[in-house]
Amino acid sequence: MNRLKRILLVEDSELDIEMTLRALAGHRLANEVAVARDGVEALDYLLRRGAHAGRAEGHPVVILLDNKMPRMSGLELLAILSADDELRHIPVVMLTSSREEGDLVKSYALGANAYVVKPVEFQAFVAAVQELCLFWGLLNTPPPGSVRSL
Amino acid sequence: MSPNTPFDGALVVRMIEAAPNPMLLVASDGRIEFVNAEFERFFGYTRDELLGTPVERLVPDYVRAQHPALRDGFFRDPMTLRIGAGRDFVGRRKDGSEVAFEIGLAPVRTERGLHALAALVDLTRRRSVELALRESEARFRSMADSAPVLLWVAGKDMGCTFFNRPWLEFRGRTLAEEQGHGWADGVHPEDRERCFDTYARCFEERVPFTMQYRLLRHDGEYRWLHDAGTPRFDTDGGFAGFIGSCIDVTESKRLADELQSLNQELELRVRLRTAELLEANRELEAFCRSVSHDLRAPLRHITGFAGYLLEEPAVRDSAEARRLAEVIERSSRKLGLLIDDLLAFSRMGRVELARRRVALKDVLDEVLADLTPEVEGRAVEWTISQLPEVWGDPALLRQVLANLLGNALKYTRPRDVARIAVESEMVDSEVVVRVRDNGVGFESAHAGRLFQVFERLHGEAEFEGTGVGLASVKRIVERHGGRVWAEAELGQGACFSVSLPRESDGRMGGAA
Repeated sequence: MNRLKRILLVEDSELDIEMTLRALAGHRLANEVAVARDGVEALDYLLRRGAHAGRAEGHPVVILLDNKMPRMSGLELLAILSADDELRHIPVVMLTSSREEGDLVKSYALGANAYVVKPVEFQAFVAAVQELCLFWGLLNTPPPGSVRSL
Repeated sequence: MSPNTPFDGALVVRMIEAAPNPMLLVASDGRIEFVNAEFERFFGYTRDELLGTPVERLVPDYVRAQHPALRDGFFRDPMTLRIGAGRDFVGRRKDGSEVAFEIGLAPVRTERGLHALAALVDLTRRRSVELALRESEARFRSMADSAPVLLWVAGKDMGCTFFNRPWLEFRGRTLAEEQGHGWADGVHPEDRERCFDTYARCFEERVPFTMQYRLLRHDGEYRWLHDAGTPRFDTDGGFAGFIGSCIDVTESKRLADELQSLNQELELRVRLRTAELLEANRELEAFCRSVSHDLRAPLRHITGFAGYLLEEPAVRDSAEARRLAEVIERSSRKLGLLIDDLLAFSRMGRVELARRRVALKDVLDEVLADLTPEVEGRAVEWTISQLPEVWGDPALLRQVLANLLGNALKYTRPRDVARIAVESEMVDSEVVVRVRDNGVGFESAHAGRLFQVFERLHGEAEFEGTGVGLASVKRIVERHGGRVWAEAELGQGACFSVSLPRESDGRMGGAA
């Protein structure tokens, strides 16, 4: 049975996934990141369906969500989450390349908890990922039903 | 004495003597037999001077020769000719002046033979009135005929009684043909009902009208007339009909129609062009979004993996490998700056200006605060003069000042003491703001290139920059309706000037 991870990273770019995971390398959270390649897979993970049917109960303490993805975009997933009585409590951090104001406004309207533009600068990127995961993964007290603290 | 008893002769003579008209009895040979008192007065002779003399002495020279024949005619066929039958004569008074009179004649048979009794009516007054009337009529006609408009006059019954010469010439018809309702045949069939309705209604209500209709010209062409009719009243104030004037408005109507169709065409073209522009703008926006997203992602990967590469032990241990990875990192960072600047530049051309009254002083203070880190450790002498309010978008104006002051700081870096002045001047409805420095300057021949994107007059090694700053300044200022220019000499410092409108479209911008 798959263990429930504290952080769900929803991201379609393999390179971004690797960079994100590398940023957390050597960190306590390195092994606490589950990855979904698009909104559909993320939903499967959260609802324990399909490939994730066997994972343990409970919700991640935070979802790091990219927007532009195949099959189901981040905003589309956000809309589904916000309409779900249980899933809407999971904190969502939009983590995207786009600074477009329209996406920003829509994200907050759909209940996103934060909106972070991936920094182009290497050090800034690493720092952003580490701080985000530190805050949402460890510092923040997640809603009931989330994975227990480490 | 009963009413039917004849008066005696003496009374009749007294009556004739006292009659209020000049009277005269002439014998068949033309001698004057009798005149009454009024006659004496009228011609200025005493009866003693007249009696027994030929009546021709009372006739002016120029008709005297014809007079005996007239007299003979009467005596040959004597009959009563009443006053009012229009026998107007001119007489010659004793003082040589002429008098106009009408004459009535009656044959009188006496024991001395056939006589002609003449009774005169003084026409002097009537003549002068008639003359004045004729003169006024002639004046009116000459005015009417020389007026550059078509004139018509209608009576109470709506029938026209007069048309001036221009009208008749326009129509190529005679007054007789046009009179009454004759003119109406010339109105274009499509305009007839409307025209006659207006005509009849305004006659009924006795109110002025203006209308346009087509009237057939002599050459067979229908011309548009602008007709203005006004009711007219006689001296007693009674309604007497209408008088109207028309001008040919075919040309101006054609021009107006043409103008309208041109306007419509122009409007259509503007609409099309606007739609095209909006579409182009949308495309550009989509393009920019895609640039910002799709270019940034691989760039992030390049910087990111170059960064991780630098952390790899094998790279850390090789100076050359480290240098190579650092070049990749630096170059990608530079590319990132370029993309950001370009996007900002492009957005600047598209965003809606949020204009209001802006105190340039406040904007400058903010910019100076932002520049504090760059000023630190340097000797900078600021000279800031009074700055007025302008009409503009505060966020964009801040970018303008930030760019200009940032440049001034950058290019004075080689100076021991940087001197930077911000001045302003009112020129007409504009404010000109100048940023002057004692920096390295540039060759004035290149001043124009400064404001183009990616144009740089200094090497990257000397002064960093992407070449977008001044292009942004120019774009922002021009979107505000202002201008930007620069003066400098190599090594002698530079002066950048920006003109901005003080007010929105000439009016003081109130609360915005």
